[in-house]
Amino acid sequence: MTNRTDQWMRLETRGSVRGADDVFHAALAEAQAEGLSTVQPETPSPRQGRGPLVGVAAMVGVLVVLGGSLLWASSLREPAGGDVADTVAPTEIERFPVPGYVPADVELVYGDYAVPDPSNPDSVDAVIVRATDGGFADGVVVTVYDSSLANIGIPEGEPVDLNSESATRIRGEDGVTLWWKHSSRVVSVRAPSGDTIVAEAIAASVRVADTGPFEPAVMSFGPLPEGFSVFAVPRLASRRAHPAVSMQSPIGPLSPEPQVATIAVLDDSLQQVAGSFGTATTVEIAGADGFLVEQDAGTVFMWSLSPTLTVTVGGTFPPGDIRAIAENLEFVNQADWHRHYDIAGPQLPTTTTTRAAPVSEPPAVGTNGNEPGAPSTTVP
Amino acid sequence: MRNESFDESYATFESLYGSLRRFAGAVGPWEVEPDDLVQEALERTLRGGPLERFDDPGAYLRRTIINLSRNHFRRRDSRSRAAAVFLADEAPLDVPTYPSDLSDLLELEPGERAVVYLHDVHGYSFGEIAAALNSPESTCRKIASRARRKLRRTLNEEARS
Repeated sequence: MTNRTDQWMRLETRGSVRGADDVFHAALAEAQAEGLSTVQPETPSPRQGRGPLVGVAAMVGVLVVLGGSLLWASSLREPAGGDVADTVAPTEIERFPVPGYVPADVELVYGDYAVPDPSNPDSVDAVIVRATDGGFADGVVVTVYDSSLANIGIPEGEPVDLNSESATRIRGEDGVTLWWKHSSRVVSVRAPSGDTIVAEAIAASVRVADTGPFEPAVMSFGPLPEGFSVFAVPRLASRRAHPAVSMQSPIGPLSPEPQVATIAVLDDSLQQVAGSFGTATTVEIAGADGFLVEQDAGTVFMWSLSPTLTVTVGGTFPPGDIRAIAENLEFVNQADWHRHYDIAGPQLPTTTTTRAAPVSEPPAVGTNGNEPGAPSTTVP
Repeated sequence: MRNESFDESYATFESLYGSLRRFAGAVGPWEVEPDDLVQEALERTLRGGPLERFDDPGAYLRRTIINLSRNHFRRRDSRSRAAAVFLADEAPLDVPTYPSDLSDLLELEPGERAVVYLHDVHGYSFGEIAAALNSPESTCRKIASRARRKLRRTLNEEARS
């Protein structure tokens, strides 16, 4: 085995050396292209505190664990490219969350965008559920992917015969999912409950148009099993970035896993979002009728900000804390939100009131394989 | 072309460049050029204004390099997972390969590598590492401890095999 010092030396001296001048001016040119600021950062708000910056991947990931992510294969299409600003939702409305309540042991609050992977294929989603007295159950998410521009590989799993189509059944942490190809489209039917019978019964009702433009009408349903109805009508999945704020407690000797909470404002209807969890109960939250999901992985409250905007507040903190976060949210416009969380640049305080905090890693995964974008802030 | 308002930043960066580059080489993903990582960190930092706004620009830039490295690792991991799950035959993915004799170090998470590197190679105390990375000292100690456990486990496994 190579000596450890040699190994480190090989690492630190690897690559070609461009020199300070080249690196600096390339960085400066890029920064200027992005709209460089020459002013000092604003004085932080009292809520912004200290502590090490930790990525929010795990925090945003809570939603993935709870809601299930859309899996897909690699795309032939060139990534759309561009920056967060190209893909964010309309900015004129006050849809950007700022928490007014932060649990006592939170050491980090982080605001940023969750950005869908631009190479994800277009998709149309719908949700079928069985209504219950206090909400719904047995929710199934049906998705049709446009594979005319992308190679979408069907995962390997158990073969299933479905309406004379050959499907594949996959069991995973996010339930059971059936996949099949239909002409230039790929269909998935996911039952978060893991109930195969329900998934197959719903899958048998799915109708997919072979031709024509890729729009919500590509998906329709034949007769559904008794007791089931369309909860969220087919719609094109959003490709926009959405704002998210995450909180995290410190990692300690007695708590190796930090507690996390994530607030997100999604470009989806309440039915679309709630349905993806499979089961939810109705609840009054933040003065609105919403849904509550309680699972081993955590608690999520969600409600509508508008017919196409849904707020989710979820995480592993005690349900009382999650509710308190939800009840004490303030929504601001994009410019204010950027200032509050320093989205435009890493310039927030850390250990002194005059120093700026480093950019933290972008949150990695959102509700559909999102890969959010950049900086943010530390807290109380 | 030089932006005069950033001349001072250039001087600051020039004095830090060598150490930042070595740091980026030590903590960054193998497939990413250290200079590219330094440039990306600097670019993000300059977006907020000159380097002089920081008490310790080096600490800020090192911390940013670690965070950017984590992003690269995360993106790579998600690509690998997608490949594993979907077996997309028509879609070959770039799976990075490293020299085998560096693999145990490269398996450490960027933050872990940074702490071990500064401690073992540069002989920094944990207090100095905390200042250099803009992190609490207790966190640095925990990270170092976790990294050493990982390395020990890897070495034990190698010895067994």
